[in-house]
Amino acid sequence: MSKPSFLGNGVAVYFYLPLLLCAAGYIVLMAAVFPLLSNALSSLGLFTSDGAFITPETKAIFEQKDYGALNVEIVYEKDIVMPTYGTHYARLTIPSLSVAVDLYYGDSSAVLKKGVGQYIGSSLPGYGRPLLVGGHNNGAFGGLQHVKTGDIVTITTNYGIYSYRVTGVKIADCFDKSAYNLQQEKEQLILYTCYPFNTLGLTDKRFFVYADKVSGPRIVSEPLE
Amino acid sequence: MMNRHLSYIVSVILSFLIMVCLTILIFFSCLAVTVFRADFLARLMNDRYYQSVMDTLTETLKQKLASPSNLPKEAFDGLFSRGQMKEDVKSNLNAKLAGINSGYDRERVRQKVIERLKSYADGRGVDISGTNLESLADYCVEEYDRHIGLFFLDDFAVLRNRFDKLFAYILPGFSMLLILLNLFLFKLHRFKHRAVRFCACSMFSTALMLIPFPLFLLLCGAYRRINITPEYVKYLLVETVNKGLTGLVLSGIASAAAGAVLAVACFRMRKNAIIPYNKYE
Repeated sequence: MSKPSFLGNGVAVYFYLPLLLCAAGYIVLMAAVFPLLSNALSSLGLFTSDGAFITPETKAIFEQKDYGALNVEIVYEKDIVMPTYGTHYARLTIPSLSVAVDLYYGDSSAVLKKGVGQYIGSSLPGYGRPLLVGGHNNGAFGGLQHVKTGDIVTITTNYGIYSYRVTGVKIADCFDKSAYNLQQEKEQLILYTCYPFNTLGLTDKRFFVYADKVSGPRIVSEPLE
Repeated sequence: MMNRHLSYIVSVILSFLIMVCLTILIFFSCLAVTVFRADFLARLMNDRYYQSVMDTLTETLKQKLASPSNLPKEAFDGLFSRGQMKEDVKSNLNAKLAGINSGYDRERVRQKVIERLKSYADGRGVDISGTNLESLADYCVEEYDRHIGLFFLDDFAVLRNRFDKLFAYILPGFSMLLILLNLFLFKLHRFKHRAVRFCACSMFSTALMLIPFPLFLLLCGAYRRINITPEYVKYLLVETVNKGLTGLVLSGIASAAAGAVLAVACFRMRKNAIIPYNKYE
């Protein structure tokens, strides 16, 4: 009597052998495409939306008000509701580029899916110090590729309307910290996004737009006597 | 006994290689008949696409140009003929895929814009003497060009050309390899139904390689939530991914069906092999 063959003559071989071959195939495939995976996953993460973005840490304090009520020269700090991380606190518009987006305090990936985010190491509008705001190149800040010197960027907050005039643009490496100066003593709005504009996924370069303040109330710490 | 075990191990390795060849062949063939087919993008551009382009273009012109040109927003309605736009989109698409810069007559579009603006102004008594129609028409044509073209077309054309060149080598190369592997597998086994069994297992494992991940993506639909504007570009990209994934899943199912047929054939061949053997006992 012959011994049973190594793989068996039954139906079971049609289950375990394909699974074994498939597992080996996936191992080879993962080894071959692993270097490309991280870039592909970052692209997918950048460009998928999870619908409504509601977490306990996120809220909106921005309210559309009568513009006349915001046309003041000074605002007292005690009258301002300071935004926390992930808060929608303003609206950023660039009429010449048809850009109109929500401005959040903080620049997490979840925030950038909803609008543009301000780096929390920069100042709020009105403090006379630089603001650094980032957005996706094929979303909110896609229009920046057509920006021209002299274009006006407006940030509307609950406490005032701030206008900034574009003075220049620059393309720099993503790790180049000299592209912006957050220690300078003037209120400069710095917008940045990934470059080139039509590339999906994270890129090595950033497109910076610099704009100097034209108008908007100054925030003071205490009421003047 | 050692030879028999060794032949099974070699058969498993050959099965794996057959699976790899089949997977690569089916994957590339699927791409060749879906995403990288010559008229793939043109077929995707249906009425919904053209309407979206027209709507987005009109809205953009109204937002960008109405105020600076001192014209009412209604002046920008119907600036472009939809039928002509369809033709221009197709010409532009074919030109880009062929590596030519532009496939439509921009001057014709520009003249039509000027005519229509003048006609609107005359019809409604709007004073356009202070409006620089030439410059306005230039901006309109610039937006028109931006909307009928697709930003990823140049990259897509390069990718498609590379794919065509690669596929010209992959198809005959891997087909030849597949045939050789099968010949070796059948040569290895005295009873051919055993070789057929390994081929069936290769087909099933190819199906397992092709079906799960594309099916998962199709069902969870993460790519449908992609944040890209304008809407018609998103529609094209989503449909491209849709068709590609569906093609892969269907190919995997066909591979599984072929494996089932081979398994049945194996069973019949084994039965036919046993009956003559039993006759001589």
